[in-house]
Amino acid sequence: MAEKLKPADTPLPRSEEEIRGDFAEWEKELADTAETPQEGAGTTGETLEATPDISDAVAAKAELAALPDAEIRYRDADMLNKRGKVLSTLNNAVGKNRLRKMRDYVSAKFNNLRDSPGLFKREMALAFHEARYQRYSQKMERLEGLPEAWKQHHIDKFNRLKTSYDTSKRRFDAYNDRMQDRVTSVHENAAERKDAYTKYLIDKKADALARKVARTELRESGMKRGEAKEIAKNIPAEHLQRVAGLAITAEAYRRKEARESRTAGKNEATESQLAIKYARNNDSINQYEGEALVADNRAKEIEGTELPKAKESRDALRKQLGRLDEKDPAYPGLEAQADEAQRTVDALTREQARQTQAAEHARQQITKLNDEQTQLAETLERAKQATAAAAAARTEHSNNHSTYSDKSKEAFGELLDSKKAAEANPESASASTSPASTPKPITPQADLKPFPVPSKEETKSASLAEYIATGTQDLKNYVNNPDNGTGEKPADTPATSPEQRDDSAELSPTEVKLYRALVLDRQVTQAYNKAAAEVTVTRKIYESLMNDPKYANSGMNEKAEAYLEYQTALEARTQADKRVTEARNSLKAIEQIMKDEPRTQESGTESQSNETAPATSPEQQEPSESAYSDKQNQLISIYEESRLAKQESETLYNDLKESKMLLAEAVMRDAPANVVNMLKREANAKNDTYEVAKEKLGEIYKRQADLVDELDAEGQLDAVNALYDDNGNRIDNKETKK
Amino acid sequence: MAILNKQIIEELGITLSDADYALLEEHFETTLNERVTNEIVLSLTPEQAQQLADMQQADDATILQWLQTNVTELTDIVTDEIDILLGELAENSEALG
Repeated sequence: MAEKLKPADTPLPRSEEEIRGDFAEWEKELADTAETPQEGAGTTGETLEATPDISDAVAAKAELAALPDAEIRYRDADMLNKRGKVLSTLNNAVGKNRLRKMRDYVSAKFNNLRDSPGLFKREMALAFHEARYQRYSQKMERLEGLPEAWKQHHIDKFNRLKTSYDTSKRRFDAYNDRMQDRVTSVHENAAERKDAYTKYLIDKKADALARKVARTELRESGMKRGEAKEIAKNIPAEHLQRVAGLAITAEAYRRKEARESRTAGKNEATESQLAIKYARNNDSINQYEGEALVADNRAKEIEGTELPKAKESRDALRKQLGRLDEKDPAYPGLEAQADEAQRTVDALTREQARQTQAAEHARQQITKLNDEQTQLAETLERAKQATAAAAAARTEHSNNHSTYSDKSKEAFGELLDSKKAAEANPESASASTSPASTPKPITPQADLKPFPVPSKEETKSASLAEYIATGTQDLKNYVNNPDNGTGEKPADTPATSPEQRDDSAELSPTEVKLYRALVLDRQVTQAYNKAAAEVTVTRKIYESLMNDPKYANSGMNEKAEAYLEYQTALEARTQADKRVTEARNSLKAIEQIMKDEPRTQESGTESQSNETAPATSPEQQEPSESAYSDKQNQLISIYEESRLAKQESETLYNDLKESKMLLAEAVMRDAPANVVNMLKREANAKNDTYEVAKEKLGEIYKRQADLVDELDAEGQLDAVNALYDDNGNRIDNKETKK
Repeated sequence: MAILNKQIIEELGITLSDADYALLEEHFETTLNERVTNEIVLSLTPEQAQQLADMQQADDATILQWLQTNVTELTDIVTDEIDILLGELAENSEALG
């Protein structure tokens, strides 16, 4: 129960941060209603003025938590939590602003109640000072005839009383005003929020009007729309209303969908953040458990072995010392030894205490973290429920507003199958986007509007894919035979593609870049084809949905959904198109470099022939490994060793992370204890393996650093480093091949 | 699906009885409908208007599809009209509340 009580929300005033957070939340929710967030609603007056003393709030919270009915209150508080159903019902029933006003009002009244004793105290003081002041005022009227010294004495006293009265009145007024302002500012803040929302809507209206005017002007500058209006006059009003109703309903569903999607996103983000925190806490618990174990063992070792030995040694030395005379020449030496033994005993005693304390601290941390874990598990559970509720609401909404869910599978089964097939085989799907297979326009006026007739786009997808494929092939041919249009093939240019070369062949860095660009090009082309297939499939679904008479008068939501999916697919394809263009530009740039390079290399070779300096760059002259010194060869092999060790370490780390996440999930889902234990053992074993790999990698790095220092001092390092690119990858043929 | 809801009314500080709210909602929807209709008609060519007139027997899906095809700025039109109407409601909230 104590664990549950900690997060209990009390009716006490909250921190300024929390209040600001509430306002932000309110703004966001309001924006959900009106689509765009608003700014500028005030947080002055009561909101800021009522900023509580946090220490008071914490103490009061602890007091409340200790009360016998705390658990019940906790449940109430939980129910009234921001995410609670009660609150959402109230929000819907009375509106967020009014509910906020009610809460602020209750909070203000509660604060006023807490301040009432202070007010009473000041009121009493004021009444007392006022009475004295008034009594003395009357006395002052009777001062005539008194000696001047007496008069002055009374005047001074009267002035003192007046000052006291004024001070007391000022204090009372300030206190009273503050209490009244609390209530007043609640109303003012509510009005301010209302004004902010009103202003927001009015601003939106102004923007919408501006857009409407611009649209009208554009329209009128073009065609004779008056004729259309004349024709429309003959259309029955019911038909026109139905038309407008359909458009409005589609827009309403679009907004609702957007809201639900945002809510779902928020819920999922919260849930995943909580899960990550839970997993991290588990890591910390494991770490503290390890620390506690180590500290306990050390303390036991000191207590059981080291300390008795040290004491025994000290006692023996003292005994020997006792037997010797102070004048004995051996006495000082023995005395020093005894002192040293005593210091050792003291040090061991201190260390034992320290280790015990460390173990205790670690255990406290574990308890604290366990408490946090319990709370996190509860919160996580609530978050999951919220996500599930949102999903259920979406499903319900979907079922209520259409018959799509029931009928779609049957009606679009074929299309869904084709979608799956397209995902599995994007190439064939891409082929279906050729002009020949492009479906016919779905409306009689399709030529007026590009949306349902994306034939140009589809044609582009097919032709572009072909173009890309051809272009890629051309470049591959160029790599195989870089004639450069001169009719002469450079003698030192390899005659095979990077994939076909043997280990003895060597690639220039530009060729390596070209090879990588080709790979990238292949990847983005495939991504483009996939996106194009998605466009085709979503369009078919949408068209079928719109054309099917079975859904003539229903399925609005699903139609809107299908439309949105189609739009999303179009966007994805545009993005893929951009990436393809970028990749192609990159290829062209490299091609240009390849064209220029032979000349550069030729001239470079000529200039090199006149020089006697040893080659240090693989681009100019790539020496074989035998040309290196022993140390250089050693560094090369260490580089390779460290690369492999790093890869292994990364793999083990990923494995460990996965294992820990699995364990966290098992704990959160209340898996049986034996399963959890098994997963825990597994995670621990993986952790050990990872630690070993990490140590090994550290050793390799150390050896590498030593050797690098040596070679650097001898000026041989550059020759080795020239074999690697900026990312530490070997740029000669062997590694590229690998 | 209603665009106007009680929450918006409450946020604007308008307090209405259920009957009054129903009246306001109806008025809002009718007005919105009229304005959207007008905007749609204004955006049509004579040929398109004739097609629309000929589609009186068509089902909802066909009409919606036709609208999405032929009224290029359908979403903008509806959104703007909703914003304009809500703005007018906000401007008159003092009188209503």
